[in-house]
Amino acid sequence: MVMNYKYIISLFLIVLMSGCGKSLNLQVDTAVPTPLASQLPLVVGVYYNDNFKNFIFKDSSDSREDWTIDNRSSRILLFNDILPSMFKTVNSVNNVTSTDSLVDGILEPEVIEMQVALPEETHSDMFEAWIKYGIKLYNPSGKIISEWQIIGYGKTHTAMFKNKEKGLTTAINMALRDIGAKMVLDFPRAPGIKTWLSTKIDCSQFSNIC
Amino acid sequence: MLTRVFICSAIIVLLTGCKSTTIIDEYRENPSTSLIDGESIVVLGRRSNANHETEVDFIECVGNSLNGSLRGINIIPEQLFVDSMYPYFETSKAPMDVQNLDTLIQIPEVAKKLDDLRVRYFIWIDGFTETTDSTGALSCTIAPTGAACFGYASWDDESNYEAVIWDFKDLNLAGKISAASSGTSYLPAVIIPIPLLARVQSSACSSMSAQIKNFLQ
Repeated sequence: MVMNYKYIISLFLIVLMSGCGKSLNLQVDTAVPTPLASQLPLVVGVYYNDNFKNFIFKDSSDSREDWTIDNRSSRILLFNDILPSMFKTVNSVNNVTSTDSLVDGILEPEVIEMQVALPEETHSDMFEAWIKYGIKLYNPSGKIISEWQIIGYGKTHTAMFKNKEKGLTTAINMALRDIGAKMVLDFPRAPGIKTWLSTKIDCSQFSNIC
Repeated sequence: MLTRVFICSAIIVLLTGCKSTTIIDEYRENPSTSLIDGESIVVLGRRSNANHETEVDFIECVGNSLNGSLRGINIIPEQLFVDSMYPYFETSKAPMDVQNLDTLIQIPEVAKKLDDLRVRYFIWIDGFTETTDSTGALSCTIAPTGAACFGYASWDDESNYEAVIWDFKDLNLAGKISAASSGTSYLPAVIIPIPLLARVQSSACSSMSAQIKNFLQ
């Protein structure tokens, strides 16, 4: 009986100590709400390149041994959710050119960078995440019409018993929501977009956009 | 004799240690405010400050408190409102001034949604609760024979919040309410810790909610 008791205490201490380890393996699945946007009467293709489909955040520095954050599915889900609210028709395409005469343009998102921070790293009481995407818009013949970057930022306050996995997941979710918001609201202000829109739609009907 | 001293000290600490002090201030821009049955209020937290963010549970507390006290008025939960108005009320995109609302309602989808929700007032709350000082030490041990804690700790908490009330019908600032609360919590431990907590944030919430209710009615 005494031996069992000591075994349980020892096991408890081992579990406690292993929980304080430096590794991190996070799978983030984010769903953003359907945006309340003015849908433009355009047919747009979206091309998810290999970088966008396969990018996984990895860090193996001294303080972050073996960190992996995988939010690939969230990324694609984000654009699949927001683009149909922005454009009348959205089709997934396999490259940046299209022979379909009805296609007005092709969007290509790309992950440029991603960073996360723990409260103890920044000496604050926040979990933080930054995600930088590059967005390119092509005409159907593959010529670039516009190219811009979107930076999404998310933070969440530390709270008792909130571990680093939950804190970082919340911060990344907020950053992805921020990216979605900026994609919807800042799209008309991206370089060259207003001129492109004026050739494609009746701007008098979309005065808040062009 | 010692037992009596201990009991008296415990009673004094119990009576005085958990108390919070709250100061409320109000500024009224509109001489009169009113609410009609069926109209809605939405309570939102400001989270654009780099150093702090208004706690979600504080906003929930104010919303729940108003829900219980303003009969016939619909209090829209913060996350439900932000999700239904996505992306216009995300942290980086939310209107910072009541004049920005005028720009927002030029978007037909936004105007329709706000009309459907029958929003009359926006209440933006900015602030936070923090521990400003702490003292004492507490140590706990776990042994095969059992666990025990010994020591004493105390800490001071301060809450500072400001509510800015926008009148959506008239598109102007209705007024501002601020709540500042402070208190000291104690944690003596003799074998078991005995928390004597000053509910500073809770005190700020109930004071602010009561003042908002008086302001709007």
